[in-house]
Amino acid sequence: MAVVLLWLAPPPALAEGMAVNRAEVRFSDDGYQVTADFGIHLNFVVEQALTHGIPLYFTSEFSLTRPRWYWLDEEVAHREQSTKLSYNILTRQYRITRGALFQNFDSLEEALLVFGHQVFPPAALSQIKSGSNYVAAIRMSLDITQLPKPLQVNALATKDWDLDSGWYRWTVRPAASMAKE
Amino acid sequence: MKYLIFISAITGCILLYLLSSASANTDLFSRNYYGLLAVAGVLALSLTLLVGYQLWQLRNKLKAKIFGAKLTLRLALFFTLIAILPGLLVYAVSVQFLSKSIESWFDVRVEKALEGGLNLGRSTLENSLAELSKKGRFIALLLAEQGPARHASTLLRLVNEGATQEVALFTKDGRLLAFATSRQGMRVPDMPSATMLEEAVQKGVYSNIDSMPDNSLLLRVLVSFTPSRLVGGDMRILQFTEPVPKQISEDEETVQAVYRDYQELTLSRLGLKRLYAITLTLSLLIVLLSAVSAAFLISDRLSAPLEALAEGTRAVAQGDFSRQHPVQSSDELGALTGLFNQMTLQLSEAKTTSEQQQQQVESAKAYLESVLGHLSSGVLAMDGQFKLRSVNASAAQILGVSLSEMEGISLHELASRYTLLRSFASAVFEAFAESTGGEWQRQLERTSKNGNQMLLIRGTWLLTGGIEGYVVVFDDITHLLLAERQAAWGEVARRLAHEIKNPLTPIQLSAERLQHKLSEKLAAEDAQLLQRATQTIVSQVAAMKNMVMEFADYARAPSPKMSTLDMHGLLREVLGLYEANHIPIMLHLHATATTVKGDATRLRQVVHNLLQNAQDALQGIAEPEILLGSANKNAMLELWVQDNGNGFPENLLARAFEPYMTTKPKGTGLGLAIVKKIIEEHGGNIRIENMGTGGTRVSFTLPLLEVT
Repeated sequence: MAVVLLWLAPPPALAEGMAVNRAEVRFSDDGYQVTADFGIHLNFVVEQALTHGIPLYFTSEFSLTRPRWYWLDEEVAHREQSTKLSYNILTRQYRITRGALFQNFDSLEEALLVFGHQVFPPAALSQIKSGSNYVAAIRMSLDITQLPKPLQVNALATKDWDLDSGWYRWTVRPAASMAKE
Repeated sequence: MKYLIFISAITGCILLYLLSSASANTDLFSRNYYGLLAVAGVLALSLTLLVGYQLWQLRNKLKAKIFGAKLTLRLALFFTLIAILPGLLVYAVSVQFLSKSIESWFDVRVEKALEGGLNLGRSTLENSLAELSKKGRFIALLLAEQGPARHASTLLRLVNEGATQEVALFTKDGRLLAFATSRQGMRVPDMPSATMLEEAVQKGVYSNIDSMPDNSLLLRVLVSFTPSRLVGGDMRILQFTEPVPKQISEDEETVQAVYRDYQELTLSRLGLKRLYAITLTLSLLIVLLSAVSAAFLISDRLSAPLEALAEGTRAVAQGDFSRQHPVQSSDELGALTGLFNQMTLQLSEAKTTSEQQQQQVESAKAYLESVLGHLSSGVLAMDGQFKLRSVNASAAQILGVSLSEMEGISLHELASRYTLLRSFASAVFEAFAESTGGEWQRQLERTSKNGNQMLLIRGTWLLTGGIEGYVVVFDDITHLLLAERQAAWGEVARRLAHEIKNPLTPIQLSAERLQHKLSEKLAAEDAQLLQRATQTIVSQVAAMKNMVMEFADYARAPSPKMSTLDMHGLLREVLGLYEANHIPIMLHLHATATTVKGDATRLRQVVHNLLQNAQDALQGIAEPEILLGSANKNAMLELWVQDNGNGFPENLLARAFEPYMTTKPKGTGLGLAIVKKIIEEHGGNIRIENMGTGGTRVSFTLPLLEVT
């Protein structure tokens, strides 16, 4: 079993926005598992929309590529998952929904903390080669297209809705021996 | 161009349909709206460029002053105004209406009502929760007094009695001790989280409303109690859960959903306005630009026939009648084009006719001129101021002046320019001044280059077509007069010869008889006298007879005996007689055709006479020489005799062929006259001229016999 980890130092505290705090990919003989912690700080506009009951959809993406000098990089794996953050006005509860699962929170901070911890379920990976370098990349962003239509126009016009961590990339090297970067 | 606009319009329509449907359809919108906006924007931009290009083209046309460009501009402006003004009006109203209607959705009362509904729901739930907590605390007190062993049965009894719907008992750290529920099939309660337990332990009570996955609501109350001292032991936590009635939860959900939608709209009202405004603006831009572009195209097409007509008119103005313009439309412009074509056709026909007429006139004029030119009479046509209008060739020849380029010059001026014409001009003026009926006829003797000339002049005053003019026709009758004179001379000579010859013979016979009878009777001295006198009489009579014979010969003019002759042969025959002559005769016989029809005797006499004249002219000349030549000229045989003597006196040249004109001391003056007569009898011409080098040349022509 091989484990490749990446620890990222906490980024400079953001007033608002998103950033990758920590990301980790574990390789095993069967496949791999990805976990990442995102620091999420909603700005006033987004938070207002949320507290008025408008659900926010966040998309987190992971991709694993093998760089090739002679051709385009080969994408070994690409995964995407959508997480919904909503607020129940009646019960004053925040809720995180991922698929059929959901969780209620009384405070936004608590909810964001849990929300920021993204775990991609284990998946099988057949074409991995031990000993060669791979580039892992992760990103989380607010899915504007899932917003109500009129708000999309707002999102287009202002930067307030541009919540995007951007791609974070790091090199991993699945190997027989333990490697740490 | 028109296809471009057509394609733009079609694309615009499709885009507008997509845009409007995208505004309604969320899924399509979210995926493609920006793409649609971009495509529409690009279309609007390209339409703008198209309109700009059309404007630029029109400006170029205006600059080049192409006919119809101004009309195109005006029409385009009108069409554009007609398209733009209502469009802008509708746009303004739409924008106003849009913002007003969107604003009208947001009403403080609606918001208050929604919040009130929400609050109502919340207080209902809170009331239920408070009731449940109260009930919970009461049951907790009840349980606290009982021993732990009886807790489970008490709970079951409470549920069965309907005091509560579901109850569970936990230890402080969340271990399940007892559970009772009225719901069928529930074995395990909804487990509380650690934070809930902790709060229940600290504050004695915890209450909360949970929303379940199926959106139903669950009231949950946690109450902590400590069992009685009798029993002793740890703190226990009692959990009561109770689902909110379905009706209430559904109503709550409805209120919440409406509130959410309302808030959504509130938050995005600016965006909505922008969305509709952008769609509306783009639609307007595409529609208006298409309209403007089409307006330019239509204006251009409307004014195109005008341009074609203008071009046609220009062509007609330059004399090109060949252009026919196709009639493209059935409206008035088409009719105008048709009329224009008709007009061009008629003009072309008229031009052809006038050209034909002009040609006819010209040919008639040429015919008249050729007739005039072949007249032997000279003709001068003049206008009212005696300026020459037309002159024929004979006039110039008779007057000895080149008149062909003198048209427009008056007779006065001609007279002052050529001194020889003065007498002619003054005679003409005088005659016109004197004549009463406008017509006159008179003879004029004038000096010409070739000596005296006798002219018969007829003048007419004309008034044709309101134009005054004079026509003078004249003939050179010098030769006619000469012939008349010769005829008269012949008659005189014949009669004189006849009258003189008759007494001569008796005179001679009488004289001879006198001598014969008297010579023997007289003394020798007297006989000799008689002899001499008789001799004189006889010789003089013989001379006189001879002279009379010549006269008779000249006057009698017996009909010639014509036969075919070789002139060169005849010349050599005559020259044989001159072989012993001391004056050399040079021969220049270049003629190739020498056969003529003539009287050999008479022609021989001609050659004799001419050679004799030449010999006479060369008396006392240092190196005398006679030239005899021949040549072919215009189907005639020309022969000449030339000497290198002193030449013929100039003043006598013109009358050289008249009888009794002689320069010789002993001549009858009939030589050349006879020669001329013979030559004219043979249909030829004779001419005498002084050579520039000295000497005289007499040349005559004889018609050649046609070779059959």
